[in-house]
Parts: sequence; C-alpha cells; structure tokens
Amino acid sequence: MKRNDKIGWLFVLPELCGMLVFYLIPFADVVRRSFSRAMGGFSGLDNYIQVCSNPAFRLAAGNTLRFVAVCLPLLLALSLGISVILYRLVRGSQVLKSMYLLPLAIPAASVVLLWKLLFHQQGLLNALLSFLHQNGTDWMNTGAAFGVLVFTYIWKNLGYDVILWTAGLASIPENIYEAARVDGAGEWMCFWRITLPNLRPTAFTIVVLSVLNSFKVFREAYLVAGSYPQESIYLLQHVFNNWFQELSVDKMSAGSVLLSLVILVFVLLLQRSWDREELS
Amino acid sequence: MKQVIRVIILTIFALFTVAPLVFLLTGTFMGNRELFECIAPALGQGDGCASWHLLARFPTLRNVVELLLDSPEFFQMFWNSVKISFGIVLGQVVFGMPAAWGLACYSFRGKKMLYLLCIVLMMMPFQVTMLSEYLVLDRLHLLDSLAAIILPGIFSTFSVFLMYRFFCSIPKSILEAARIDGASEWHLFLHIGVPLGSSGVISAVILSFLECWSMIEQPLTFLKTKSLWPLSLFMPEIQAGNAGVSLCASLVALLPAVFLFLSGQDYLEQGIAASAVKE
Amino acid sequence: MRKNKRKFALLLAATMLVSCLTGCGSGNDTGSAQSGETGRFTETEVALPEGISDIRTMNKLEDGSLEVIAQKNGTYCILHSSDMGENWEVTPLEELGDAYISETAIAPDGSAALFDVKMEDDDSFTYTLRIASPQGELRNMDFPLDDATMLKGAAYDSAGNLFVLDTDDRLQKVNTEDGSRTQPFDTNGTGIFYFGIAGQTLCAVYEDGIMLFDTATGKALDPESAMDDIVKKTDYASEPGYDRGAPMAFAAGDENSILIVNHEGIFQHTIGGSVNEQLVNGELTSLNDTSLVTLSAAMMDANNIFVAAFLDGSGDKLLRYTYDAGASAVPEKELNVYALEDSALLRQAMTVFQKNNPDVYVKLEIGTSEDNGVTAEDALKVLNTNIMAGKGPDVLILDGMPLDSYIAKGILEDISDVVDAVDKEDGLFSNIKDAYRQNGKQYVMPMRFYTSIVTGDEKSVAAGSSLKTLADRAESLKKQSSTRYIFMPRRQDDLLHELFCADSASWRKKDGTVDADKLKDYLTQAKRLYSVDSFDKELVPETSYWGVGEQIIGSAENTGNLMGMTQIGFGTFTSVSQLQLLYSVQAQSKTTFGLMDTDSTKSFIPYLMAGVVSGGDTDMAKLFVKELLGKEANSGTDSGFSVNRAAYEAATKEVMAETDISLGMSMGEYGERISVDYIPLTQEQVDACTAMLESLTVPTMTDRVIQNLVLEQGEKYLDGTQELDATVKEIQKKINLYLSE
Repeated sequence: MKRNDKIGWLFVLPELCGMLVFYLIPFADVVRRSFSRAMGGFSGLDNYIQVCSNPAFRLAAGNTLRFVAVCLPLLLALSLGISVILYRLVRGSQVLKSMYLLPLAIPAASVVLLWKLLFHQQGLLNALLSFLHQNGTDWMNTGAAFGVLVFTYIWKNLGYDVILWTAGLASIPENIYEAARVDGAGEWMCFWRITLPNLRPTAFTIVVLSVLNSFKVFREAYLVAGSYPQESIYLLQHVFNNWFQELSVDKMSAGSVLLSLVILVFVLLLQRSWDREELS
Repeated sequence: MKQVIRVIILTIFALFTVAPLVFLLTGTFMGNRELFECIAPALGQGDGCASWHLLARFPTLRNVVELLLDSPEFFQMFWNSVKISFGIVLGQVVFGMPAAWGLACYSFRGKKMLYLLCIVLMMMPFQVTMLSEYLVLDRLHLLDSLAAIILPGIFSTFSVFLMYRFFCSIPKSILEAARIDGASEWHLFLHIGVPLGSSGVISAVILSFLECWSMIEQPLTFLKTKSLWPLSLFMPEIQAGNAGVSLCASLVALLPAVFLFLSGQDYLEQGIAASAVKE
Repeated sequence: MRKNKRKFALLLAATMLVSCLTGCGSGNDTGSAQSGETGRFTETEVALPEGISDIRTMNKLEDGSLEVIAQKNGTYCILHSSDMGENWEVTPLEELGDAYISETAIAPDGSAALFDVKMEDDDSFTYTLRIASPQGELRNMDFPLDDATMLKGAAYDSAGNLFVLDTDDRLQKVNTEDGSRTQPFDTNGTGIFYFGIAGQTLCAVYEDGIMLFDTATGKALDPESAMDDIVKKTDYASEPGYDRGAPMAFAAGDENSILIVNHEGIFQHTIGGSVNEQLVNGELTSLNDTSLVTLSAAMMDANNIFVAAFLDGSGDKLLRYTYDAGASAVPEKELNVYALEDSALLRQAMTVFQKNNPDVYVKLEIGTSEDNGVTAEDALKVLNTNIMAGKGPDVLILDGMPLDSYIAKGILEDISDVVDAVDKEDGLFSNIKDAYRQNGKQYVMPMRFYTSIVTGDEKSVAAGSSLKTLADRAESLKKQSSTRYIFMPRRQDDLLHELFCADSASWRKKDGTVDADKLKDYLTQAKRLYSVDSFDKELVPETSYWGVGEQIIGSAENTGNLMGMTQIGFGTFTSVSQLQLLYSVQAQSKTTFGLMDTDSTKSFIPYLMAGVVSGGDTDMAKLFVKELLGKEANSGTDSGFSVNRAAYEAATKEVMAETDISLGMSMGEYGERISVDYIPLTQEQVDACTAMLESLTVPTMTDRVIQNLVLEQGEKYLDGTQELDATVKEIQKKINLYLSE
C-alpha cells in the first residue's frame, strides 16, 4: 500500500509551470514595482504610504468593502431561499433554473445598453414608477447608484448560486429528514439543524466564487458610468484603472499588493472557519 | 396551495432574469426608427421618458440581415471567440485536471500553500497584473496573437479550484483498493479519477467557458490587430441609430452560452452535488 | 427534452460552421508584393514654371512626352515637357479669358478638351466645349446639357476618344468635331462617383466597386475583385468626386495593366489578376493623407510615374516617382509617432520630414478611431502599457493626454534645445513658448494655436471681455429684438465647448483644484447665452469636434449678421484665412471683432502639442519635432496659427497676396444665399492680428478628463435636468476625485 505522495507533484507540475510564467512572475513584478518609482528606481515604502493616505483610494476601498459586505450575505440568503423553494417544487424546476442562469450568458455590453435604458433619469424604470404615481430618482447619479450596482450583482449571480445550492441540497440524503420528521421536527427545525450544516462544504465554494464575482461587477459599472461614476460606486478597480491611465504604475502596484494581502487574509480566515474542509 | 405560492415567488424572480432576453428579442425585430423613438430619452436625446414596445409596431428583419450578411467582421469575431474559448477550455482540461487531481488525492509538502496560492491568484482583478503580464507576454513574443489570450487562460487557477473540489469527493477507499490491485497512479487517474470526476470537470468547463466567452480586458490590452478581436469587444458605442444591430449582435452572442447551459445543466448539477458529498 | 436539445445543438453547430466559412473567405486584399530587398520608387516634386496654380489635368502623350493644363498667373495654359518635367513649354490659351473651366482632359495627340461653364441670370448653366490644339488654337462648340445637369468628369482614352460623366450618372462619348454625344456604356443607372481611363479601359467607381468598360466597343468588362475591394473595404474610395479631382486616379500601366493611385499608394493591377501590386507605399510619400485629391496619373515608363494631386494645406503638386534600384525597399530607420486623433496637418509635417530624411520611415499610430469605438481611455491604457514596456513611440502628440502626469513621471525629454533652435532660426511666438517653459526646461511645444473671439458691433465686442457682460449685452439686445436671433443657434455641447475653450484658462487655483466660483459663473453665463434665443433644438446640425482638435468650430465669422439674422458671433479664431474673411465680413456689415473673455486671462488653445519620449530614439525624435515646428511643415494657412513666426508671416503674406476681389458665396444655414466680397488684407490688419496673438499668455485647460466632466454635467444644467448648485457640486466632486488620485 505504497502511496508515493511525491507523485502528487508530478501531476501538479505542468499547471504549476504555466502558473509560474503567466501569473506568479507577473505578480512578482507587481510586488517589485510597488517598491519602486514609476520609471524605475527604488523608493522603499513610499508608494505604500502614498496609497494609504490617498483619499481616492480610501474612498474606493471603503466602497468596495461596503459592497462586498452588503452583497454577499444578501446574495447568499436570497439564493439559498430560492433554491430551497425550488427544491421542493414538483414541476418546472428545470425550466426555472435555466431562466435563472440566463443573466450569466448575456454579454456585458448588452447589459450596459439595457441598464442605460432602465436606470437613466428618463429611462424605463422611472417611466414605470411615474405610471404607478411614484417618484423616480436619477438612479445613476445619486446614492441610489449603489443600489443599482447591488441589484446588478445579485441579478447576475443569482442563478449561479441557486444552481450550486440546489446541487448541495440534492446531496443531503432524504432519510435524515424522514427520521427527523418522525421525531417530530418541524420545517424550520429541519432547515436549521439538518439542511444548513450539511450545506457547509457547498457554502465554502459559493462564498469564494461570489466574492470573486463581486470584483467582476466593475465591468458593468465602468461601462455604464465611466471612469468617474457616482461616489458610492467608485470601486478599487476604478482607482487602479485611472492610475494606470496616468502612468502612476507605482501607486497601482502598491495598491494591488495591499489588495492581495487583504484577500489572502480573508481566504485564510475562511479556511480556518471551514475546519472540516481542511486539506487532509 | 403551498406549491402555488412557491411557483409565484419563483416566477417573479425568474421574470427579472429573463427580462433582458425579452428586450433583446423584441428589440432585434424593431426597426431603427422605432427603437430610436423608444430609447432616445434614455440616451440623452429627446424628452420624456423612454418606453418600449413589447411587440414591435413595425417588425423588421433588417437588423438580423444587416448583422448576419453585411457585417463580415462579426463572424470573424465570433470565430475568434470560439477559438479562444475552446482553446482555453481544452488546455484547462489537459493541464488543470491533473493538477486538481494531484491536489485532491495526495498530500505533499507545500500542498496547502499551493492551494492558497491558487485561490488568491484567482481572485486578483485583472488591472493588478495587467502591465506585468503584458511585459511577460511581450518577452515571449506572444503579443498580438490569440496565444496571448489562450495561454494565460489555460493556466487560470479558477478551473483548478473548481475541479479540485470535485475530485476531493471521490472516496479514497476506491483508490486504495485499486492500488492494492496493483494499479499505477497514472492508471488511477485515467481510469478512475477521470470517469468519476467527469461531471465535475464538465461543470468546471462550462463555467470556465462562460468566463472566456465574455472576456473583455485581456483582448483589449493584448490584441492590437482588430481582426483578432473576440465577440465580446464587438459592441461599439451604441448610438440610438444602430441600436437594432447591437441588440441582434447581443442575441447572437448569447446563443452559444445558452446552448452550453442547456446541454450541460445536468452535468453541472451532478458535479456540484458530487462535490458536496462528504468523505 | 433531450431530443430538442440535440436538435438545437445541431442547429447551433451548423450556424457556427456557416459562420466559420463566411468568416474565412475574406477575399482578396490589396496585397503588396515586395520588390525585393532593394529598389523603391522615390518621390520628387516636379518644378513647374513660375506662377503656376490650379493644375487641372495631366496626361502622357503618344510621343511619350508629358502635358499639363494649369493656370499661370490666372490664365489657362498648356504646359508641355519632352524631358520628364525638367523643362516646360508654356502655351497660354488667352482666348479663354475669365472663363470658368469645369472639366478638362488631354488627348494623346496633345490637344485638349476644356469645358467652360457660365452661369446665367436664371441660375442655369451653359456649357461650351473648347478643343485646344497643341499650339493653343481653340475651336468652340456648344455643349448643351439637360436642365440642372452638370459635368462631373472628362477623360480621353488612348485612341483619342473623349468621354464625359454628368451628374445624372451618364457616361457619354463626345464627338469632338461637333459636340454630339452618344451613350455607348450601359451602367444600369448605377450612381457613379467618378471615373478614369487606363488605355482603353474605362474605370467607373460606384458604391460597391469599379465598373470596367472597353472604350472601343462600349462593352462592359468583367469586374476585377481586387479593384472592387479597394472600394468595398475603404471609406475614402467611394467619396463622390470633388470640384476638382477624386480620391483615386487611374492610368495605363505596364503591359495591359491598370495603374491606381490613391492615398495608400500607387498600385498596378493586371487584368485577370487577383491582387493589386503595390509599387509605391503611400506612407512613405506625400500621398499619405486621407485628404488627398488626385487629379491625374500617368506612367511614362516602367520606372517613372507622374501624379498630379493636391492636398489640404500644401496645394497643387506634380509629383514624380522614379524607381531607384539601389535604394532599400523600406527605409532602415523607423520613427514612431503617436497621436490620439488623426490630423491632416500632422501627416503633412510627417511627409515634409520624410522627404528631407528619406532613410527614415515615419510611422504614425492613431489611438482612437470612430468606427470601432475605441475610446480615448482605452487607447491611453494601451499606449501606457507600451511605454512601460519600453516599446513606446518616439514622438508623442500630447493632445488629450494627461500632460502633467507624464511630465511628473519623467517620460518626456527636455526639448528646450530644439525649441530654442527653431526660435533662433525662424522665431517663435514667445508667449506660447513661455507658457510651457518652467525653470528653463520645456517638455512640450504646440505646433499651432487658436484663440476665441467675439464679433459684432463695438459695444458687443467690448462686452465680450467677460462671459457675464456678454450675456448681459445679449439679453439687452434681445429686448430690442431687431433680428431673429442674437447668436447663431448652437447645440448645448458645442456651446459649452466653445465657452470652455475661452474661459477655462482661469479656473485653476494655486493648489491645483478648480475654482468653484469661476465654474459657477461659467455655467450661469452659458445658460444665459444658451437661453437668449429660442430655437428648435432638433434643427441645429451637429458639428463635430473631438476634444481640443482640428475640427474646432470656427463659427466666429458671424456671417449670419450679413443675413440680418444674428447680431453677435463668438467662437474659435482659427486661421489667417479666417482673418481675411472676418475683415471682409466686417467691411460689409459694419461689425468688428476682438478677443473673448479676457478679463481674467488671455488664453490660447494649443494644437498638436509635441513631446519627445525618453528612452526612444530621442535624437531622431528631436529632429522630427524640430521639423514639426519648422517653417515648411507649417506652411498651411489653415488649421490654426503657426507658432513659427516665419511660417506665420509667410502665411499672412500669402493671404495678403490674394488681391483678386473674389466673390465668395455661401448658403446660409437656413437656405439663404449670402455673398461676401473678399477684400484684400492690409498690413495694418495683419499687425493688429499679430499683436492680438502675442498678447495671449495662458493655455486653456487641456485636461481631457476635466473637460469631459464639465461638459457632461454642464449639458444637464443647460437641459434643465439639474440645478446649478447641484451641477457645480457634482463637477467639483468628480474633479476632486480625479485630482486626488
């Protein structure tokens, strides 16, 4: 029963090589640049200090954090709820699931056109609201823009997460529920004590993927509102983008390294709390 | 009764997600004039509010014709997208699958670190490494060729991450049994791992394909020649005047992704279900 | 469910297959066959006798000599050369007198056909065909055309037959004995833009390609796909012909092939062949300009090609291309120039440099283009990536780029030595120079500049010294309402843009932020100026401009005043030619003009700001910048005022020399006809203008980001969808965000 663990390295090697060339080396370059000036020359921690004290960066970082903190729980709860309801449905679940997945397939540029149509001050949403005798606001140019962004994110990723949850739900053996019901447990009890704990592994994947997708929402924000959007949707990527346009590569690199560190910490924490998923 | 309520709730959400598709479909068949009337206010011209006709007043096939027959560049870009997406996905299977297997089934020094690395790299927004990646690609003389998009895409750790979790779910006992029977590690991988984990791999493939199909930043930065651009970059500044063609283009761009969903949905779920099975 | 999916899958697969096939068969491109490692056609400009202007046509004669029809000191002449343009015999056609010649063509025997058109009192046209013998004797005959039909082109074939094209798209053969016409060609009523004849093949350019006919029999020939592709795949080729000339010219080439000349170069197409062989790469020659208008082309022999053409700003030329077997096929050295937007003036400067440095290949890269929606931001990202990778351009045209940032990051070289050298040689407008010099260092220098002016009566012009007083004046004039409008109706974005150019120079505070009060004032006055007249927004045509660039609207001349429609005009003062127009209008309408918005600062608008990138071929780049600022490249009288004083003075002299009191006619925007009698410019007037230009000290705000933000929000305010304070606040917030990055 020899298990040569070193073989594991062999399997991983090709991928590792590619990763090295296309991701690790560039990242190392970024780290290097974070300690130098834009056109070369060592500058120590200057860039980091500049970045941390930069008001635009702070605004963006705050917004990004706020965004993830709001979206993530919202999306998780919503998608879980829907998938639970969906799961119990007898007919039509396939169709519905396909429909939920649709937003993922729509190219960003088309989403932008539709969003402009909907959320413009004279757009369809306000038209609808006035039809219902409500007051619309200028969605993209007030704090409501944040809400639009959250809506975009949830709209896009709902299907994604619903599918993942559904699959997770499907893996819970029916007999556990039966046994619990026999013991007199109600719906809620079942949900809290059986469903949720069994969904933990799925949840880990979903959280990671959802955070990943939350960064992607920049694309739509940028295409709809440009480089200098309403304050509340001014995200980290906006800052990076703009810095790059002005050749402030030094600040961009420092900011990127900081972002990576935060992500690393986040992932570590996530790992820690998912003890059961600890790598054997 | 409960069923009905359930259906209603679900349908409401579904309407939101399907609405854009409805827009695209109806808009495609609207003439430019009608479209202009509807959407001009939202684009800053015209007064009043935007409106929409669910059924085109003057339905026309003009947009479809213009797109499919009059825009050769559209097909060129479509084909580019296909090449890129298939290239990447294929490569991910060839390189990523073994890597995910290795991570899942063996424990070796540095495994944890590698795993963490995968995740962190995966989360990095493009802007972070854009410049450095450009420089590396330049050194390798890959710039301005589809390889500049395909190669980095192949080694994206996103698919490794997904596949890893699916492979994790394969009971170690099966592997042990096979080992006792004298199977080599490679044999284990090919004849046990791959078949058992296939649904997982397919779901990773599907999700990955979607990523590739809608890539915007990489082609924009690494591809100079317009004839190499993929479909996702086809959307020029949408003026009120040519919205019809854009809508039609969006519709056509949707199709492969939708097709993939529909055909792969079962696998998607199977694969994810498998990953949730505890050891 | 499965079955449906399968069907769907098949359908999709089929679609993809079809798309693949259509995508793959892209047809023939105009391939360029390299003529080997060495050997290339070099361009020279043929010197014509003194006083030649207005080249009309050119052709190669049966005996191998060259003939040109042009105006010499106002009289049409036949120019003839038997030695490839070294020496010319001039035969004036005195009889023609003042006649306005609309079309001309030269026959292989040296005779020429000239179509003289006269406008009658009832607005109809009368054509007379005059056949000139090589010795200059004229034979005239009437050439009646249908009502409202005019001629668009004329040419002879190699057998001596004359053909014309009229505005009804009819190609007709003309009998030069009696002026009668026949129609031997069946064009199926297709709209023909222009045509040319190569030997006995007539090439008629229409929307989708080039129709070919045999002039001897009148039969249509099979289309040549390679030739059609030129029209199908480009925008310029299917432009209608102009008053003179067309975007492409045709001539007989080597051995039954057709020579095609356009701004991409000179190509030779063998009938039945699948490609167009590129003989001359347009990029290396004066042809490289999308505004190129070709008049005629002729291949004298396999090693010599002549092209008559004219370009905006450099006038009529007869160009000669001679094959030099020893020259390298492509110059060894390369100079990369980058600009966000295209510019004819820049291309002209490049050609001048190229000519003086034939061993350097100047390559221009344009960042943004209209057709594929690449925004300035995307283009900048790509540019920056290239610069960081060390593959940046050698010369940057910094219009629209974050100038301050680039200077701060140190990517631009100090070019004060170059600037000083030009100053010493030709003199520069020192106010412009000083605006960009700090601590003895200079990183950028604009090639041209504009400014903003107000035209109107004296009180109005005086009121133009600030936006507020201008608005006050406009409103008080409106009360008297003696004309339909006070200002010529403008779109909001155009108005805001014009005012921005005039006003923004004074907005920057010491700490780098934008003064909120000034911004508020700008917006308030803009709204007042916009609301003074009421007009239908839909009717105002869109004028195009891209950031701070060439297409700045020069609507300052206030021709509307002449029509009694408007009272005050304001806008960009664009050139020395416009100066003459301004004074001419002034004389007719008793108005005057003066600088605009000068209370706080006198500002100018820089154009084509050139800088040298560190790390590139800086010596060559500096040479290029020197040429850019030099006299020759700045010889045009349009597109701004030259920073180079010698060029400026030459331009003013050129305009002053136009002593013909010519009648300029223009259609008013609302269908009215007005005429402006151009009066000659006096030295006094030029001096006043020079003094005006010398008084400008501060450049307008050229930061593209700030400009876009202001205009975007400003439009909302003008529209009424946003309040003033909210607008100012929004702009400030965003600008501060931008500045704080």
